[in-house]
Amino acid sequence: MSLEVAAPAAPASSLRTHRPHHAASPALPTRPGRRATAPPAFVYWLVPVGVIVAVELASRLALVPAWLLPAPSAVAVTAWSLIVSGELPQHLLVSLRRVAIGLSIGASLGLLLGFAVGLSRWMEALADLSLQMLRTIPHLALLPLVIVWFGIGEEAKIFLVALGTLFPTYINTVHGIRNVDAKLTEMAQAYGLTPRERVLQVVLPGALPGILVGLRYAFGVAWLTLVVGETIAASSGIGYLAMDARLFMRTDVILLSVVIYALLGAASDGLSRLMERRFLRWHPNYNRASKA
Amino acid sequence: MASQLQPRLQSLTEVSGAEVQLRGLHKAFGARIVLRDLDLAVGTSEFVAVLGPSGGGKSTLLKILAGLEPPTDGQVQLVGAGGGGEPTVRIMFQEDRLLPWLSTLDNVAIGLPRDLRNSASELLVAVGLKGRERDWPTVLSGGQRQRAALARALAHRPDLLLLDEPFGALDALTRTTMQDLLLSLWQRERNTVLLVTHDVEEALVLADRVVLLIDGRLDDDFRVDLPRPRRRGDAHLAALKEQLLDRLHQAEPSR
Repeated sequence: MSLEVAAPAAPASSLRTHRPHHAASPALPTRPGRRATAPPAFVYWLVPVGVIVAVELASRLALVPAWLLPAPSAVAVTAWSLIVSGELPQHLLVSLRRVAIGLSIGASLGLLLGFAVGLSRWMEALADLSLQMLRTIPHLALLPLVIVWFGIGEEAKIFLVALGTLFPTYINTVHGIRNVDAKLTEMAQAYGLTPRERVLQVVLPGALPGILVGLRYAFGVAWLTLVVGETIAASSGIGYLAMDARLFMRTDVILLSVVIYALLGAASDGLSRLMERRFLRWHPNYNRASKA
Repeated sequence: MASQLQPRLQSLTEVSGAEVQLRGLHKAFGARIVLRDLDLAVGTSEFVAVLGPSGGGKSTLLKILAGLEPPTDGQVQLVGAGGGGEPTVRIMFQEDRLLPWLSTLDNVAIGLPRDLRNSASELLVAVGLKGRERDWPTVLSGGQRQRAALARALAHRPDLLLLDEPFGALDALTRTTMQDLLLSLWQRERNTVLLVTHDVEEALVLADRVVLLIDGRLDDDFRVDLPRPRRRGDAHLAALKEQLLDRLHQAEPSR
């Protein structure tokens, strides 16, 4: 009983005393305790820089013949001369264009199909099984067929990139939509949002983490597809540059192509991470990881 | 800020709550009957608490009133204030159900027509969240999130406010604070309120009338004739609470 008598006094004071605590607390979780003994920045670069130096030395000291493994400095010189001659920018643009067009087509279709299937039982019944069956085909296995259909023109590469990026986008979009909390859509319904508004204000933002994962994965697939396509069936692009160099045993050019592919992959990964940080600011996980 | 709030709240006193008429309401999910032949009339600006053991159909009743579930049979009639037009019904859940990708203010303003948007920020002030407008819901405490959810429900100036165990997940201290806040806002806005709760004391402290819903049936319906503000330690209230708890305990094994 004594507890019950004490209760009425509590509310007014609890309101006052609680607030300052809460007001201060939000700052804490967004700045997680940085590990006390964080290593200095150069440590992160120790291994990659060490490898480059080691290769350089091995090549200079003729431990490995230069035609097998050219020195990084030689690759850099080659890169410079190819840039000056305009050859490299030209091939690079061709490759970028293929990825941009192929990815736009593939990702848009994946998103569109993902939303259709994620939002409608009928569309799911109609399309999901077929898409899942198609997905099991390694899209690169279609290369010979694609060459028969399109020759070695632009269509062949764009088709393959689109095909390869469609499925990761599709699957992750559907998955993202399924993961949207049904309680939130119910709330939106109770608060008078139309179906269209519910999709735009609840389903889309709720599915966005999934969609961005799909997109990030699609980026990777796009470059991989392009490497194969350009290496086997192309008359331009970075992959062609490498294959053409092989005929003349120009390992420095081949290595350069590999490095460029790696840089392009890293750049698109950075781009998708940028998008995650921009679009998922509200998400505590991404908010905290923003130092990466 | 408070002076800005005053005229709006005054004008609200004219806009009083909706009237609810349920006749022969029946709801079944497959073979499971949740509500049986329910008759209930709630008057304008009445605060009714619905008590009962879990699984007794309380939440289903609210969902039907919110238009989230169709009744299997029977009549649901909502008459807006002054008899004209479709009354506005808003529901508040046990979970805050704030959209994590919207700022607190945008959450409160969700679904609001453009001309009512500043009522969202006024209500945030009224529930004690001034200065938190631009924060993500994830950085608010549980109690603050429920405050925002309450503001969101009230921002629509509902004729009928449905509360589905709104404070059930809060700690005891925050809960009493929220109850007092709800009461003061209701006393100014005079909407009709249907509060579903497990908490007998909460029902008795807040409501004009308590309705017992057991096994989908209306088991009891009585007025709480205690003057407000009610003290939680009041002897009369304690006796009532004891009585009600006995009833609920009796109902428990039958399920």
